[in-house]
Amino acid sequence: MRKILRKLVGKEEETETGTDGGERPLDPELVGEYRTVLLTRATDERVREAGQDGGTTTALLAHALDEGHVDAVVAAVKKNGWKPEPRIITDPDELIEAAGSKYSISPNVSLLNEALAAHESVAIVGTPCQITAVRKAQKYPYGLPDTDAVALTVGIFCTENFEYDNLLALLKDMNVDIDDVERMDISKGKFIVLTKDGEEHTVPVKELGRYSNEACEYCTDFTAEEADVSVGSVGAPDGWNVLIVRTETAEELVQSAVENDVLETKDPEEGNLNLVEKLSEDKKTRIQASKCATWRPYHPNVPL
Amino acid sequence: MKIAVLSLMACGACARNLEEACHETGHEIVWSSLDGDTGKPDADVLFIDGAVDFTDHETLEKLQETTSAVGTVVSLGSCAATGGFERHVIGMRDPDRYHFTVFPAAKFTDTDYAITGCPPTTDAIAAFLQALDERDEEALRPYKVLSGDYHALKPDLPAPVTGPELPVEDVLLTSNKDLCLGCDLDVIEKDLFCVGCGTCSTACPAMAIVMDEKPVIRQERCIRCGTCFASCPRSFKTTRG
Repeated sequence: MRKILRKLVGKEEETETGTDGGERPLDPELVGEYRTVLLTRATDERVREAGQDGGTTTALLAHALDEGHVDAVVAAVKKNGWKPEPRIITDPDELIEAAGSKYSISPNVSLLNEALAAHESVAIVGTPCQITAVRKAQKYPYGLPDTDAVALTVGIFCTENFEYDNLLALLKDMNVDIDDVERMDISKGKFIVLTKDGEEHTVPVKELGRYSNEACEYCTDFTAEEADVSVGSVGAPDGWNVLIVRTETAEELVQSAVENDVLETKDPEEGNLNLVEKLSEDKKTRIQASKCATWRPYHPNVPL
Repeated sequence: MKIAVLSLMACGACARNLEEACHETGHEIVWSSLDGDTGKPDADVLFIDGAVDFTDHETLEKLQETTSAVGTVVSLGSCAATGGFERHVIGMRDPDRYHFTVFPAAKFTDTDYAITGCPPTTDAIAAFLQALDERDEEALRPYKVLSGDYHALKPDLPAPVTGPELPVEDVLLTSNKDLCLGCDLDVIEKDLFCVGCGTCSTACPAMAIVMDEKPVIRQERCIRCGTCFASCPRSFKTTRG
């Protein structure tokens, strides 16, 4: 909303209304509250190779494990045929198995109880909805004890997710066999599948709607607004990540990762952060067109 | 706060967790039926733990007498709030004769709040005590609605769904507690709301939910406590931050 107002009142007004010392790179109304935005990538080439874009998530979590900031990480590893599975990882070297995006549902939170029982402090990587789940569990710990031991939440930018069967259907419609897939990516408005023979298959993101998980239709959170730190590739140059740091603990961790040469950074000006705002705004408005918007609560005293 | 505990048809785990939470948060239990206390308690909050057999007049009288003396009444745990496993026996076993006469304590007395769980974790009770102590109305809202007569509530029908979480009133209207005590399997099990995060599975005290992208409920293990529903990030709205 503020963004639309800004457009209306013009640029002069914009600098005037920027009260806290200058223009912020991203609008908190669209991407949630944050402290800093950076462009980052892993210094280690091996991590970048395994990672989806800049390997920031993997490098940051490996650093958190190395430094003893957390004792375990709950993340999704890729099984046969690109089916993801949540796993508790304590060895930084094992994290490389969890690197890279998987375009299917991995119930990461389902391992949280086990991780909290066995470890003093735990980091969890997840989609925005999974981070919301962890925050709710911290506020209303109905069945989950010791949620204070969740020391770090890393949210991944997310437009939508796919049930595994629907992912298979999508690939089938693209004439691709899942076993031939080398790499999957969503970039520049396209879903791109690279097969082992080097061929590239693409579908516009707009056409993914009918394959996506129904519950994603009315999600309004693109950047994981409740996470300690959010990572994505949207708006970053190729091979880099956008890193939105939201809490003080995350800021300290990122700083120490940069000082220890685990992460390299770049001036956010070199990316196109408007894209992050645009996709966040799209996700906040598309709910109005979804069929969920016509859903009504069932009530025993009110006829359907 | 001065706290009283009335334990009815219960296993005692809720009361034990309450004692632990009180010890941690510095609230004092001044009256407890588990310590043989009788009569009218002089306390700020009364926690009722367990279900009631309505053929047992002595217990019903005790319930009336105790609740009338205290300003704030809370059903502690699923037996008191919705009936829990006292009503729907574990393992889909045919109910014993007495199960037809057992109801949650909240059916026989007015309660202000309900804490779901079997048992609710010490952390959950401590979080509730903190919210109550600070009179944090927004944080108390879900406990309040969960304790209420949801059938008397009317949903705001013309209001479209405008966010990933619904207001707690609207969502509870979707659950038919007479069929499923406190939990709404449609919300948990059907695709409409499920994002496949796995929170229900990790929160379930009976390990009755396994994840295969979406939750699969093993009915043989389900104890009808409603923890999955209350924990689900999509079941009701929570305040941010």
